[in-house]
Amino acid sequence: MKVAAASSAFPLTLQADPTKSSLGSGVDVEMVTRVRDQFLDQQFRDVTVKYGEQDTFSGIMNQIEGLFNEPSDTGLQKLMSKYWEAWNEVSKRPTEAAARANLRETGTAMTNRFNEIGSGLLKLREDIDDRIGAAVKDVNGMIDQLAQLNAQISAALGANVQPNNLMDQRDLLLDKLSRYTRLEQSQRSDGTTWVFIFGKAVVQGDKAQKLELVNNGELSFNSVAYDKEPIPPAYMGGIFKGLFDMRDKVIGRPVVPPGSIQPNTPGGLAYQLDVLANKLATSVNDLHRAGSTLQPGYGPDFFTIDSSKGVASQFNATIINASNMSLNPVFSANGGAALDLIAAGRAPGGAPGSETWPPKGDNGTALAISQLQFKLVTDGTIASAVTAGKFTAEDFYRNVLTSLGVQGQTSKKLLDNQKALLEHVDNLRQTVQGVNLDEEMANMIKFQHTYAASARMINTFDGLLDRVINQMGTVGR
Amino acid sequence: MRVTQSILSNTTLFNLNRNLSAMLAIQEKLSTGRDINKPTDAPVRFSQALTLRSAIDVGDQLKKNAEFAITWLNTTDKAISEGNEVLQRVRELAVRAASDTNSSDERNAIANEIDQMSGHLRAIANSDFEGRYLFNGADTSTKPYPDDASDPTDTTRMQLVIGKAVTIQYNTLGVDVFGRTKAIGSDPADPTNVFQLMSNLSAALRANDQAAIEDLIPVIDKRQQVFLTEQSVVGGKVQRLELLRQRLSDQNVELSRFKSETEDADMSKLITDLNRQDSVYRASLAAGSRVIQPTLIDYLR
Repeated sequence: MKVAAASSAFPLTLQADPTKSSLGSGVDVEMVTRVRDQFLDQQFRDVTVKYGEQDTFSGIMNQIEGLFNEPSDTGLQKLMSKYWEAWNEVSKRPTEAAARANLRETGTAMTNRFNEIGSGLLKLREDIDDRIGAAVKDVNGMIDQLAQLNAQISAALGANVQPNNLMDQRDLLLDKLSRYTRLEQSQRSDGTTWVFIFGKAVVQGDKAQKLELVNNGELSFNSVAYDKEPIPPAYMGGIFKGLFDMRDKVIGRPVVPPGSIQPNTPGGLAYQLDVLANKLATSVNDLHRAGSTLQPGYGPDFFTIDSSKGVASQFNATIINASNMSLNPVFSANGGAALDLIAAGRAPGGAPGSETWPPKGDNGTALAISQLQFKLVTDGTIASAVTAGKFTAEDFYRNVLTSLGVQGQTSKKLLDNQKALLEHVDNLRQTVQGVNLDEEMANMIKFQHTYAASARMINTFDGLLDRVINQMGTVGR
Repeated sequence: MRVTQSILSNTTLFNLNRNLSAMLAIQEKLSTGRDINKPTDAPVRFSQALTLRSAIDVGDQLKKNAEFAITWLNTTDKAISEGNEVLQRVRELAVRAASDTNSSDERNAIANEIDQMSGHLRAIANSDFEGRYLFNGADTSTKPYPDDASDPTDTTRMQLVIGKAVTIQYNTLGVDVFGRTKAIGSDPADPTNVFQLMSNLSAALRANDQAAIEDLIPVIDKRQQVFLTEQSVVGGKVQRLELLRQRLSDQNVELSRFKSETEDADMSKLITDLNRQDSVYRASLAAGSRVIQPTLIDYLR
């Protein structure tokens, strides 16, 4: 709402003493000022920052949940169950090709699901990084506009014009900007508003200092920086924090081979899923390599790395992880003998080179592998950081998802709260600056009547003068 | 508080949105029939639902394993009891042949019958389940007792998972029932093995050697005793597995019920909720239409 500041114009004086009687000549509109409460504006923007963060966070959380699709009969947990069951079947009927084929199929289904989720998460991280880039562009656009508006406003004020529309635009931009990041502002005497992010001036009068993207040391991923110096996401808040938290904490870095970049956030979803896939694959492989095939001979690796899978840009995978895990292709080679390579038999006796192979019907290795279902995934170097609590593979998976659920739920509740709060603060703001049509109409009628009354007054004077001038005494006529 | 038009429209919109998203949540539950569709819906119950699903899968799998073992053991039981019946008949014949009144012709006739029974016993020792030989350890695709008695039978004890960290041996070793026909490793052949016994008996009958026949009767008794012992071992396992299967069945019924309670939607409650939410939504729409439109303008002319 804008209010006209009016003052009476210099009166025309009928008599020498202006205090006695004067005839007003109306009012001058000196300026139209905006009615705003700066405190409420600030509060609105503070809430907007938090709202932007939770809104972004919850949105991406939805995507992740879609990726896992649990609880369902097609989720990873069910596929893992089926895989273990297939090993059980092989342990019961070690020589039967159907049982072996079933194991191959369920194994493939499980690895495919791991791949989908694993590379889905990595793809999501890249998307989030793109969104960070886009958000920086948006913010920079706004910073530019703010600087331009500052220039126009101070020019207008210099020319003694009140640029209310421009100021409205500037406030609107600041509202929009605070969805992205927390910011401070200071009003200058020349009418400009300076804007600071992380204590760094991004808008100084009519000068804009834009934010930049700098590589954060992990692949092509970026941090947001001011003058080459990265700004900590925890400080920024808003959409930026939501994006950064998702990219670097919730999903986080995948398992990277030793010697390469070390994971800085071993609690991330991608990392944990990789650990699960890796432990599952290596513990099966260890037993499988020692077991006897139908050939006879030692078993090959059951799970291998399929380098065509996975997201190549993430890192050069030299260990089995969720996105590159694959069933050894030898099991799917043409010819019936491929399935014979599944090592169901116990480890042979005798020294290497002169083994005594167990009979074909032996199920020692299949039995041992099927029991992995109930064994704990604790040993090994990769898992030790994450699986300090002792879990079976399924427990582990379940725990990962449950903690994801807790994070998501917390964020959803926060989002609902912020939404309500934002609504409340905005209403408070509207109380001050909004236009009430009834009020305006009532005012209009009031002024209309005043106007009519004034007209009446002139009428009366007209009558008086008429009487005096035209109807009194006929001397001069 | 000074109320402005924008407050009215904002509030109306906000509440309409809130009502709509509440309806969306109910609709999602109604159309999937599940109360929990993603981890964030209810993390604790979600975890519980996954645990229950997994427990049901494991239960099903163990039940299948138990059923497999039960079928295998029943087949084994039938084979051993048939063998026992044959041995009983052999014993009767041996006792009859051992009496003084038998001529050598009669003993020859009995020897022929004994030879037939020996073949029958061999067939029993070679019985199979789903094409796999019962009494040959892990070497299930090879006949354990071929006619020439060339191969020693395999002695692998085949195990099966029937619980977390619990396995059970489901096969019965041929050597334990019929006796060792050949030396295996450091274990010497058992001279009282059932096939040796039958051929010894047959030879003694043909030689008309009454004393030798009499000597063989306690050996038959001993072998019969072995058969009975093995049969009771098998029977004991079947009983144990039947109990396990029953328990797993009961447990899965219970778990499924619990799972349904945990993750399935309560339809009647949801439909009631939907109706209530629907009327709230209608009310807020109606309120919105009345509140937003009229201003003083409408009443001035």
